[in-house]
Amino acid sequence: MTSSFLNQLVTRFEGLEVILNNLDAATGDGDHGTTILRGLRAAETSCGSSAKAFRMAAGGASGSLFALLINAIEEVSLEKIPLGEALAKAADQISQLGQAKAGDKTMLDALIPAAEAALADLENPTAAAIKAAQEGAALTKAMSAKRGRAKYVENAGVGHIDAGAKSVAEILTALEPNSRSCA
Amino acid sequence: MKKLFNSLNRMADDMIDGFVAAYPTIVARGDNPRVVRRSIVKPCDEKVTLLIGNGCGHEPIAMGFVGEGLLDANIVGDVFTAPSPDLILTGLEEITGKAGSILLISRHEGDVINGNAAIMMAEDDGLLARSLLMYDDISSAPKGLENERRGAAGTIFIYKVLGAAAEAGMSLDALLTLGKDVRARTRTLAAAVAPGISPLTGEVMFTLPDDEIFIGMGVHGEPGVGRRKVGPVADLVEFMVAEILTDCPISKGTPTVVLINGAGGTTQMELLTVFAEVTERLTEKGIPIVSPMIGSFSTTQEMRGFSISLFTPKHDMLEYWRAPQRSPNFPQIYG
Repeated sequence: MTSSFLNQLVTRFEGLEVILNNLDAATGDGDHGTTILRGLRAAETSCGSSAKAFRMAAGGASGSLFALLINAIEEVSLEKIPLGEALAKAADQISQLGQAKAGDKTMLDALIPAAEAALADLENPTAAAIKAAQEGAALTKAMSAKRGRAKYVENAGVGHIDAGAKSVAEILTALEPNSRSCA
Repeated sequence: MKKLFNSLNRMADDMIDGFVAAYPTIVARGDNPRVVRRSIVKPCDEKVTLLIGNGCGHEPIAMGFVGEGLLDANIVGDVFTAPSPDLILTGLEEITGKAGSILLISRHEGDVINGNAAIMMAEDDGLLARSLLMYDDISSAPKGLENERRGAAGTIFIYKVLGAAAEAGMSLDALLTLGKDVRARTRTLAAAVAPGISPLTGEVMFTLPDDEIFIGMGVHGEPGVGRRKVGPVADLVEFMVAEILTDCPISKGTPTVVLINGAGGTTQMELLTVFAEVTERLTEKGIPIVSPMIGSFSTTQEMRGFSISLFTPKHDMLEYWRAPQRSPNFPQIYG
């Protein structure tokens, strides 16, 4: 993965850390932004696999699950696989590992539509994925959580965007050159 | 909020420095600095080893329960963050011998995902490592969906019973069966009075009106699932005991172990008051209490609240529960 992309992600998530922590606090322990940022910083400074460095430093469920997305983007950047296929593969892996599916109010609600949009749009898969991820993340606001800590909460997080879905949208948005935060 | 630490990214490490320096005859750092293990171990080719990985910030659990007759190692993640599969694997590699090892997993998403991934990696490496899921919190999933519940303070019964049984030489398969049986006989319900402060964010972990109590609080301070107005503790305990007994009825005359766990900011005075009320409720139903445990063991920083766990042990389980152990923070259990 290019260091400039990771560098851009770190900067983006530095700006988002508190926002993501607050989204997470509505339903969880309020550290999602901090966890993702810790992983990204480690990935930025590692010489080996960005995904492994991310997973080890981030820890938690987010560490293992988002490492699969980081790995997918890494493979795309090395031109091993097109974006749509990479995102679809990551979504499958995340679904299996996290025992979650579309509609459970998780990161998958941004990732699955992003993968589908990228596969469908041969002209500009990146822009399509970003738009779909952002829309998908926004739709999690009305959902009630079926997985993760959020499902244990009074009203299961209805009324709050899922922090994981928001992070997926932000990571993908960074794929667009000169992109700005969609916060 | 004032907290005593040096830096965010050194919190776990600084704490472990203090822990291993305080109890050098019982615990030591492993090859990986985030693995805390018994300083004197029986050869792990003869004894099944017990490990658990967890985010820190809940002390004394689980690090404080490493020792003879209890856990062999604790893999320490960052604050409230499950250790990565890679880190758990280093612990498994270090401590799994021919007799095998059991990775205890308190059912929380991160711990389950990373624990299962670590077990898969360990099996690929040819290690005899198994996992045992622990769950007991009746507020986290309805009756009939027990295996979707999360782990709470009642998991302590599994630590202790399996720890003593493993020390006595029980085999891997027998330990797994025993652990599942202890799990089936344990129920927990928690109540929160006031939030803790996350060391990561410096913020309260949830908000709660001054005159309300949350029922069903998670060990990470996840907001609860039901509210009640503050009132006499007798009423609260009566409600909670009734909820537990509805979920898992206990017949008259069945010896029952009671664990009252404080969430971190609740005083021993309050916990003993809760225990007195639980005793009264169970006694009037003809349920005898044996070998209780009262104190703050599984905590969430300075969160105020407590949980009630009931465990109906078979005879051999009660023996293991009462068996001597030598660890920094597990209390003496009396008959």
